[in-house]
This record gives sequence, structure tokens and C-alpha cells, in this order.
Amino acid sequence: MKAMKGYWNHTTLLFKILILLLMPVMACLVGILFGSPQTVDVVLYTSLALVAMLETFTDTWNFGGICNKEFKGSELIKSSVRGRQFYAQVLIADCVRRYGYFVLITAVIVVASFMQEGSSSLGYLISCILICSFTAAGSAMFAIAGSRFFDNYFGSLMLAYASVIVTAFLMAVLMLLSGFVGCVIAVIYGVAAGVVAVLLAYKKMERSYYDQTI
Amino acid sequence: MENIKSAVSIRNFNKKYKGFSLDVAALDIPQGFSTALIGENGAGKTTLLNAMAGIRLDYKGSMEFFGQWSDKDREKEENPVRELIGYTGPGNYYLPQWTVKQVEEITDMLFEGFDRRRFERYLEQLQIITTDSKGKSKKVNDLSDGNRMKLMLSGVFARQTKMLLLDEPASPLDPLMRDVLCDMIRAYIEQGAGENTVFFSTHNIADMENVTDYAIIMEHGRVVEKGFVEDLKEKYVYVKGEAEDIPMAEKILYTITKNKYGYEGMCLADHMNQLAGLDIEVSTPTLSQISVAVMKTNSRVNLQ
Repeated sequence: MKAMKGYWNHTTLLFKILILLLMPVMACLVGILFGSPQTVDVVLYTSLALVAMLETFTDTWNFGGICNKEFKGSELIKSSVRGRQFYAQVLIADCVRRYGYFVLITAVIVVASFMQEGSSSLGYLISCILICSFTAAGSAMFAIAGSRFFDNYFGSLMLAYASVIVTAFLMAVLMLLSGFVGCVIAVIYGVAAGVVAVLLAYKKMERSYYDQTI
Repeated sequence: MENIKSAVSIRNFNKKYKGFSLDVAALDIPQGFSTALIGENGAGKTTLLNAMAGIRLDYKGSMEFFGQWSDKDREKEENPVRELIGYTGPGNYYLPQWTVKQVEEITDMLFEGFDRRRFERYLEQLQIITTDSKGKSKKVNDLSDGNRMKLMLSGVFARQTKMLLLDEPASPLDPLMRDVLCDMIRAYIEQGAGENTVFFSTHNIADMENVTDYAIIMEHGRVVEKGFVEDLKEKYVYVKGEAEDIPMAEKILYTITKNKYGYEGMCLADHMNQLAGLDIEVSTPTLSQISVAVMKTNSRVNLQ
């Protein structure tokens, strides 16, 4: 709860409106309105790739340049004994929220698409949700981990575009594999990306207490 | 200092940068007083304050806070050291995207003794956001340097602390606000009844003199002078004299400024008897004059 409160307080108003509120609603609406067994591939790939791109680009508003060499951290946070914990909680909450959104959006689109048909097995639906959501989330998190090294929008934008391509490519490849193997690879890829993104940012914060010249 | 408690005791402190070394063999910040840290740019003031606040941890040596906790204890959540210290700095204090509202929320999450009502009262009293239509949704980065400093000061003065570490608090402030800052520091010290301490660095010695009880002067990473202001004013004497006495005065004075009409400078009180027989005018120096004299003597800046 505290982590979510810290995350909420840390994020900008525009991010809250655009990413936390409008983006998932819009993506789910697209799924509900246009999803069908015939269109699910297009709707799913397009929605998730766009979400991954938006997530990457808008991360700059909250965590822009935090892995950059010049970034010194916030002295207010660093002067508190709870500073490190707060920072870690914010980073983890951001990561968990992102996975939650990807799973939710994917689930809504997949369920809405196949609901009319009713013939798809539960196993197929679950593997579809896991593969697509974790692949997209993983690509977004890898792109975000990279974009946090840039303190300008250009770097983020380039990585946001890259995340679109990687998301579409990986989703297509993993969906071709058998369900279980695809799921395992997608989950490993997604979780690894999250861990890398959080650790990189947290280590940078840790290093800002030291300059290694002693 | 024998009978006075120390808010912070620093021993064998060393911090090395490329081509710079900050060395403090022993330094005690008296508890219950306001202490000014004075020195040239690059003397090591910010580094020392950062180390005390725990913003930098890459130093050698030890620190003891309030006679109870070491700098290792400061890093443990069960000890209230960081809660008892309020720090403001001119660097990356807030993240640039934060709004005033976020600053309030996050400070509240980070520090137990943060009083939101008091913070909001300061925001209003110091006119930080009341003149702006955006109110608390104004971004920290959009505030002027002076207002950003006022926001930082509001944040630390709204907390239950025993010591304030203020890095250059007066620099971005206008003369009126500097006076208000002095009042705030004075009130903080008085409220603490001997327990509250303020340690601030400044280049605006004249403006902050009336709130300075103790002064520490640093040069090239070393403490070159320290003491209660009243004691320093007894240690040094400000002297003015005639032009014909310059050769003699030059040998005796601590610092000297000459022109074709005469000279003026600082003399150690112990050396005043050597000026006997010269036509001189003496006065008690201000802290600013003492600081400049000490810095001049120890400075590497050479315009001659």
C-alpha cells in the first residue's frame, strides 16, 4: 500500500491521466469493440505494441535520466533513512503496475475476442495472455531500462520504437511455439526485464552516495 | 567548548577528490547554537555538509551525532539520527518533475516528524505559491531559485528536528528573505532551549552575522579558524593607520590593505603591543572582516 502511495505521489499528473487512466481504458475498449477471432492478432499486437511504446516514452516523465552518469539522485530522498526503501518501493511498484496493466489489457482483448466463439480452450487463452502480456511488458521494461540512461526524449523515443518492433517479433515467434514452452520463455523474458530495469535504477541510486575516489 | 555539548563531533575526517583532499582532524559543532561554515568556493563546505547529512558516504573518519550515535548508526532505521537532522542543499534536492504538492506528500512519507499544517503555513507565509494560479501543482523546476530555497526551508522547518544543516541557504534569497531566514533560525534555536542546532554554510557573512554564534572558516579542505564569534572578535583587532607607518605595520599585521593615504587591516590582539607608538585607530572587526582576513591569509588566489 505504502509502495503504491509512494508511486502515486512520485508520478506526474499527466502520466496519471494518460497512462494510469486513459491508456488501459482505451486499449480495453478497442479490444471489446473490435476484438473477434478473426481480428484478435491485429488488435492484440497493435494495442500491446502501442502500449509498450507509450510506456517507454512516458517513463521519462517520472524516471528520466535516473541511470544517467550525471544523475545525482534527489537529496531529499537521500537525506531520509527511509530514502532507499522509498526509492526501491517506487521502482518496484512501477514495474508491478506495468505488468498488471499488460496482463489486464491482454486478458480483456483476448477474452473479448474469443468470447463470441466460445470454442477456444482455457489453456489456449491463458497461454495467449501470458505470452503476449509478458513479451510486451518485457520489451517495454528492457526499453525503459535503456531509456533511463538518456536525459532527453530522443533516446527514449528511439527505444520506444525499438520496443514496438521487438514486441511484435517476439510475440509472433513465441505464439508459434508450443503453448507451455512459449509461456515459460515469455515469463522468463518478462521477469528478467523487470529485474534488470529495477536493479539498474536502484544501483545507480546506491552509487550516488559514493564516487569511488576514496 | 569544554562545557558545551557537541551536536556533531567529527574526527579524522578525510575525503579525496581528484586533486582535492578534505581533511578535518577534529571538529565539534556546538549544540544549541547557530554555526556558520565560511570559506572560498571549493573549500570543501558542501562536501562536509553532505557527509554530515549522509548524502555522501564515501569518506574516511568518524562522526558522532548528539553524543549518542555514530555515522554507522545514522544509517540504521531504528536510530532517529536522520529524522533529527534537516538538510537543505543547492544541488539536486528535489526531482525536477515534482510539483509542490508532490514535495509535500513525499516529504510526509520520508520523515515521521513532518507537520503538514506547519508546512502549508510556511508556504503561505513565505509567499511561495500563493501568487501563482497553479498553486501547489506548480513544478519545482518552474519555481525561481529563491522560491525553491524557500520551499526547502519550509520542508525542514516543518519537521521535528534537532539540527538543521543548511548549505548556502542565503545565496538565492533577497535581502528581506535573508532577514526572515535569520528570524527563523533564531526562533528555532530559542524553541530548542539549548537542544536545537543550526549549521549553515554561507558566503553572505554580513547578512547572516547577527544569527551566527560560532564560526568555522575553511580553506583548501582544512579548517583554518574556528571559535565563538565573540571570542574571534577579541582575538582580532581591526586597525587603520597612516601611510608613513606602512613598512612597520606590514611586519606586524595579520592582513593589510594599503593605499597612498594609509593602511587598514587585521591584527592579532596578542600582537597589538607591537603597534605601540604608531598613530592608529582600532575597532572591533565584524565577522565578515575576520573571515575575509583569515581567507586572504590562507587563500591560493593571488592577483598580484
